[in-house]
Amino acid sequence: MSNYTPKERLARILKGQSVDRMAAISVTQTGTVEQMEACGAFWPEANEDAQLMAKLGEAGHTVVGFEAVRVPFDITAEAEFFGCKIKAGTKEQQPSVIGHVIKNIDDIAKFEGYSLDHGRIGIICEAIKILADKYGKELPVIGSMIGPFSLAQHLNGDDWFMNIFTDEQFGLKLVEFATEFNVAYAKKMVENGADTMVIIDPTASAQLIGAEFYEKFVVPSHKKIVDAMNELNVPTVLHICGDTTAGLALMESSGVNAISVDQSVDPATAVKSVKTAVIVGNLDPVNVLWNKTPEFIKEKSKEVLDAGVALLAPGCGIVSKTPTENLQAMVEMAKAHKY
Amino acid sequence: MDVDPSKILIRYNVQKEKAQTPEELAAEQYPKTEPAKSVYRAIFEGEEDDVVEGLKKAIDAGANAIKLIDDMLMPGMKVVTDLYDEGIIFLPNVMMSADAMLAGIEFCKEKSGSAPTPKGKVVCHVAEGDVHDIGKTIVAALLRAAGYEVVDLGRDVPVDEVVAAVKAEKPMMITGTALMTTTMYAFKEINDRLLEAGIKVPFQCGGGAVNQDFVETYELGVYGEEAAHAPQMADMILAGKGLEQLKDNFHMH
Repeated sequence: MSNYTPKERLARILKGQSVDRMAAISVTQTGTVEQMEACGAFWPEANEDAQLMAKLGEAGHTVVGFEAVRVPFDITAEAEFFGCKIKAGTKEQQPSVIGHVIKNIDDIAKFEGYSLDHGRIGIICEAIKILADKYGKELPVIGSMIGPFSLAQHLNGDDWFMNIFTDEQFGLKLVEFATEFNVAYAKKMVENGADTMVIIDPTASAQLIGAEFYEKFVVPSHKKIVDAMNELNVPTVLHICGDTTAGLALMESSGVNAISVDQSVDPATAVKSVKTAVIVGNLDPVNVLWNKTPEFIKEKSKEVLDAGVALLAPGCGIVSKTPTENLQAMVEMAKAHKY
Repeated sequence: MDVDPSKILIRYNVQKEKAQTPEELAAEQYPKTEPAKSVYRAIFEGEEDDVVEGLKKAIDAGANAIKLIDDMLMPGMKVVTDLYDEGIIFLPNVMMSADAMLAGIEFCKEKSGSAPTPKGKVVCHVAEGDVHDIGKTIVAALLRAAGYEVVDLGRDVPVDEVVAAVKAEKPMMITGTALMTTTMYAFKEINDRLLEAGIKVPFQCGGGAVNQDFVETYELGVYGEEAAHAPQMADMILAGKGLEQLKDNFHMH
């Protein structure tokens, strides 16, 4: 019988060590309208202001009952940092990247020598600091960022998928550039108090680009981030959208501690497909968490828990209109689960 | 091209009990005669110039430029999309090939001074708030490859714009794709707005975040699990099938 703090418990679970029970967390975005109304910090302002961001991040714990605090709520701050045009979000929708800044290999040089202090990157780090100061002893402070392949796609735009095929030199150089940024940014989040790092790389899917391209353009960059985080004793979680079943072994080869799988993956198959990484997932954010009842969510949670996941969680970002009581049903099921 | 696909894309073909490269698998589908064979190969390899070169030869030999679109470019692209459907080649290959094929279509149009009659018009878009347009890019390429005129509204398209485009263009079908779960409920809003306006056009929805349970919650929605279902669906509409028949056929879960 052990008395772990939520912080210790999550770290042990991610590292595959024994614990008293499951931790109740979400590695993907947590912001919902009900939490915004409860805490008074709303999107889109909570994406732009450190105090408000921390407040809404905190609501995941104080309102819903997640045993962690997590920011940010979107994956556009990184592209915005490099000057990509952003379409502002609303109270219910996240902002999105609509303009791109790097066309070819020569463009990359223009962006070298940046300082991480400006833009929303800095605000996110500030929010992490506020949360870490308040909760850092007890609760995990989860930082999240877009992964290098998807960041490269944001920077390069629509042609990215063709460019990795036709111009390997440019593709590798841009991924390397994005990876260096990711490593520096992740370290900065850790300096500010993040103790768990989530890499969200939605389009880096072996299903889309094939195993050979994944191995060449994705694995080495994820490995660099994981190695940098390992040095700081920070566990890493990798989330990739879509049916990643066939890519799990490759995803794991980067050394990540945990892989978050989306609802299109069979969780039992996923658990069997990995050797050391643990599986996180995978309640459907729309058809289960948003649109169904707490009773149904408990039923579905049981199925996912029976499949052997290490952490019960949403399969992708929580939909902003999701009722709190639905999330609480998932939290309750996770907390009651012993391995 | 810096990358030689034959060196990196190798697939073990269980049936034939030997390793076959995607190029070999594609070549099995090429016609025996020239210049058709070269055009097929150039589409597979994504080489625009070679596609045009082959078309030139065919036209010089007396072929009708517009007819070449149906006779060479479409079937050449089908080799590519079939291999994509089977998981043998991937998105980068399809995008390259689609570009080469479209260059070929442009060339044929120029040569003949006329445009081929499209089989029908389809409005394609990515859900508002979602900038992941990979799904839509594939869907649009496959529809064009199958001879449909595509009105591509792009990504992150507001509901108003989709509804306005449908009113203006009067398409036979609409497609919507979303990779992010948080964005796909825009589809339901589009559905409601179209019904209010008395428009009953099949609305094919698909993409990473979308699934059949969600699409079933609105009347016009037909779930498209694979991008390749888009041209199949359009073909069925062309053959006179209605919404219920489309749902019967494509709602497999």
